[in-house]
Amino acid sequence: MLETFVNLSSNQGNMGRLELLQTLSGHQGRVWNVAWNPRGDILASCGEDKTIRLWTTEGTSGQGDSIVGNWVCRSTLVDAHQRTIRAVAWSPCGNRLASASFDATTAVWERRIQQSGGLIRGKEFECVATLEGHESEVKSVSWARSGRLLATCSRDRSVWIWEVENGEDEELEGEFECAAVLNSHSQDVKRVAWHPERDLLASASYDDTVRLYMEDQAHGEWSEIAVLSSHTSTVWGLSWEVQRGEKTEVGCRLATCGGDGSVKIWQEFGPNNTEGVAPGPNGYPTWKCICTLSGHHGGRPVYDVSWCPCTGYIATACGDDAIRIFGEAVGGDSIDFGTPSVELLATQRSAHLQDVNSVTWNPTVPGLKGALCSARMSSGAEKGLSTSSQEKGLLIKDIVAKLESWAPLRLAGSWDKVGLQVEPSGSSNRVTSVMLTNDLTEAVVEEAVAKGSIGMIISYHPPIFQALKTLTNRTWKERVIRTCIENKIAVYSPHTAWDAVNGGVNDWLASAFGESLTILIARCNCPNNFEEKKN
Amino acid sequence: MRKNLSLKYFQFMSLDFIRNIRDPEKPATLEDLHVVSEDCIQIHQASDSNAVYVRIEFNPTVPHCSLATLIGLCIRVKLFRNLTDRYKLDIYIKKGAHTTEEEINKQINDKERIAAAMENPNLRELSVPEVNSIMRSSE
Repeated sequence: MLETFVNLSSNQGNMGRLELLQTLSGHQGRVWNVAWNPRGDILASCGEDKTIRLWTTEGTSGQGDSIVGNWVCRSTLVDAHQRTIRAVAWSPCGNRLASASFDATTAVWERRIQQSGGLIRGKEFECVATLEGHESEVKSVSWARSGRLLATCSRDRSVWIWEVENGEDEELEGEFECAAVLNSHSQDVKRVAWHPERDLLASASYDDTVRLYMEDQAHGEWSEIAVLSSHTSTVWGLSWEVQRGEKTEVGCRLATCGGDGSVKIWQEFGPNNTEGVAPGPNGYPTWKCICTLSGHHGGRPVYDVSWCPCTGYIATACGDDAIRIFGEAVGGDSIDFGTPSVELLATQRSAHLQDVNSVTWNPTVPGLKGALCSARMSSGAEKGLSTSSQEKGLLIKDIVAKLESWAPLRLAGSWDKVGLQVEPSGSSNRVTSVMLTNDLTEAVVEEAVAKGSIGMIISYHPPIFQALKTLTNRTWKERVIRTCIENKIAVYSPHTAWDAVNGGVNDWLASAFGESLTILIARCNCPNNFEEKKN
Repeated sequence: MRKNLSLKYFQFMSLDFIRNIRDPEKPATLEDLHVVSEDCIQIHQASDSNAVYVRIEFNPTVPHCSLATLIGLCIRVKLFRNLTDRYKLDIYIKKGAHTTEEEINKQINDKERIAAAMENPNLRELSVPEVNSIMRSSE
């Protein structure tokens, strides 16, 4: 059963609130990473099921009003990796995608024209290269601004920089060459991120540090130019600030987040800085931590951080199931240089009680984020571990049997319409979540669909009472039933069976009169008592 | 609504699942060897959400026991496969019980390392050095 979701949230307008726009289901197992393409109209997600999914709004192809459209999975990229895909990254042109996997490889995908029999069928992503070299799981991948450099990192403690020869207008034919293998970190490297404008690379590690690398122009060699040390546990995430407006005098800033539950902001001080900060060796800039946000994340690890290029807000993904937005308290259009007073603006708990693994701002639509939650593996992924694994949830027929062992349908009035009213196809579907309602209105069924994990609704009043002659848009009752069928939600209605059963609704109502003796007025013994229909 | 009663139940269930894990080396269970016990499991519920936090402290049999990582992983896997409710699990070595306990605690609670290790279909058949090499940074 699918339990993983990509949540699209909007922070538009009211900066103090996050609104869940839509939950995208499709992945099996944990979703580890999400990434917007540069145009902001495709969201890529990847995870434990070894696939990459691309989501767009249906119908339209463009941006602008796209956030109000319905997001659907446009394509699923498969067969490039043998194990979990941990991260995906778009090239700056938007035509290439790189995926980093626990199988120790990085795949590069390119959008290619699909042809069959001379007819062009459209463009799809194909895996055009597989980069090998790391000795263990690849954790992250990042494209540089130029589109010619790719960085990867791994549990083998190294950061690799790859160069691609072909420009972005040509199809990839040439190979990726390894331009550098950097072994600065003493432990597992969790994340790499190129500066949005410059060929400056940052890496974050289990060794609690962040390191920066640049290429020495004179010798054409890549080397570490700075070590950022302040976190007291694994650094999980990195996000560069995209400087808006004229700020070329001031050094750039980097946000980091870690297992110590904090978010830190680092400031670059160039060789000619006016703050009197001594330059680094060889005249390289130095970096100082100018702000630490701690105590906001419930002591749980912060797994990801994203600095919005449009609004300057910082979003975090945390192991306490929440997404948080930080920004400057009052006025200003960016965090103040030097002494930033950053505060927590909003918190949104994920709807499904799962860690949030990744959060990322849309690059073009202000306030639109794709956040996501991890999920437990479905039992299908446990094959090979042991034969005592248990499937979660119950089959519909078992739920119905349980309900009717307590309140048999023959207790209902002869005129009543009770029992299982909607049964989705697929006899092996398991239900893990049941919603209860008195009346199955459109609002209730919309809520069930939005929750995503509801497999059954128990509605006291029977939604189907008068016979339905059609299942069209015309009446709300038809729409409700149709929506249930389309979303594989079963509907069960007990009605007067629950009224009549011992300890049921009638007894409960009678108890309002306090201590009393209940005497049966009439016992249903008539031959046209409601009969369970057996198929 | 979860109340203290069901948290207690959660605690008993968790203990039930882990007490019978066989020690990797000796022909005895973790409970027999006092590696785990009833008071090594603490459960609490977050005040502002329904998340249940489980904290297990285990006592490795000898202070330099190289099996500590494997025991931590076994406990995690056993609970994962058997507890159907959602919970967040932190596993620690009892303070003072191991020479490199901070290092091991960090490894056995690193979400990514755990995920990579659990992807291995032969987890049960892996030797101790093999498990350790999955859970540590590669040499």
